[in-house]
Amino acid sequence: MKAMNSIFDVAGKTPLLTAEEEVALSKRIEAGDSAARDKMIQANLRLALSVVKKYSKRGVDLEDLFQESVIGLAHAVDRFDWKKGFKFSTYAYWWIQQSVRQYLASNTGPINLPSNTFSKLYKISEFEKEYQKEFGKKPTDAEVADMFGTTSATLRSLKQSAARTLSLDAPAYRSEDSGSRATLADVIPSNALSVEESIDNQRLQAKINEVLSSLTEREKTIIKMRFGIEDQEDK
Amino acid sequence: MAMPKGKKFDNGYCSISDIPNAKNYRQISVECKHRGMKIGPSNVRNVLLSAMHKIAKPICEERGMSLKEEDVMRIAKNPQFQLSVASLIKEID
Repeated sequence: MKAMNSIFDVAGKTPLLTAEEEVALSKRIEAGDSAARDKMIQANLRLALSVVKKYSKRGVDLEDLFQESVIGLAHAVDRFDWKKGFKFSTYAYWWIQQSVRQYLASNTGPINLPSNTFSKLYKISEFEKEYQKEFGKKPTDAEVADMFGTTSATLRSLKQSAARTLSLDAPAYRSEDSGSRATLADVIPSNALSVEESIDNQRLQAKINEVLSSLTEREKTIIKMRFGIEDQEDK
Repeated sequence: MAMPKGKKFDNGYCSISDIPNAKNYRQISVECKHRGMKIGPSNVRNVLLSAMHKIAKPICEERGMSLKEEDVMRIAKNPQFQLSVASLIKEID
């Protein structure tokens, strides 16, 4: 946090550049002046901070996030074309945002998502928020899929891939006075069969297999027809 | 008179309307005729029940259940039992 405070100090003390100053600095950068490059970066630290602020509640270290945003900013400084006549901040914002999002995509959970998947998920969540604001209800999967030109199944798997993961060894309760050390693994019921049940099932299956093989062809055909389990070859 | 509540599950017919490609007795009879196996719809039902009975008997024996004819037949007719047998045949195939 100390480091962040000094960053805030530096960013706050550096005056913002006018459009003319930006062009002058860009010309110097083009000529290979590294001091001009540093000045351009320092003068736009506030922009980097504003992007960091937007993504600050994603559970990642703020300093790391800031570092990523500065990398994006530096990239923007190197690629900025002053001849096109735009303000530097307009151009740099997208580079900073892209850099931050890419970092978030690979650091927000144990499963790393490709950055395009992450940005798609971000767009989906923004759309859902907007939809809810406008119509007062959440859009259905089909509506969202339609909007993004994909299928509901793809959308579901996208959302599943971004689901938060929990460790089975995480404590199940937050009670401090009970002293309980139960983990999630202790309290989640298991659907697996017990050893006895499993052996019992195997025996039963073997018995049924034996009986099934003793059925006549006519009996088998009729059972298959009745329950729709005939192969194309059988027909 | 409607069947008493709670009885249909055990005593009703095994519904095939929700199973894709499943056929009723008449359809099976027609299909068998096409394949050169002449059999009427009632006979189809009898063959199906006899097959289910054949399967139910050793299972009753294995489970230490009553081997009385009527008890075994009740299990053979049970819709749940029939569906389980069908899914087992599907698995084996």
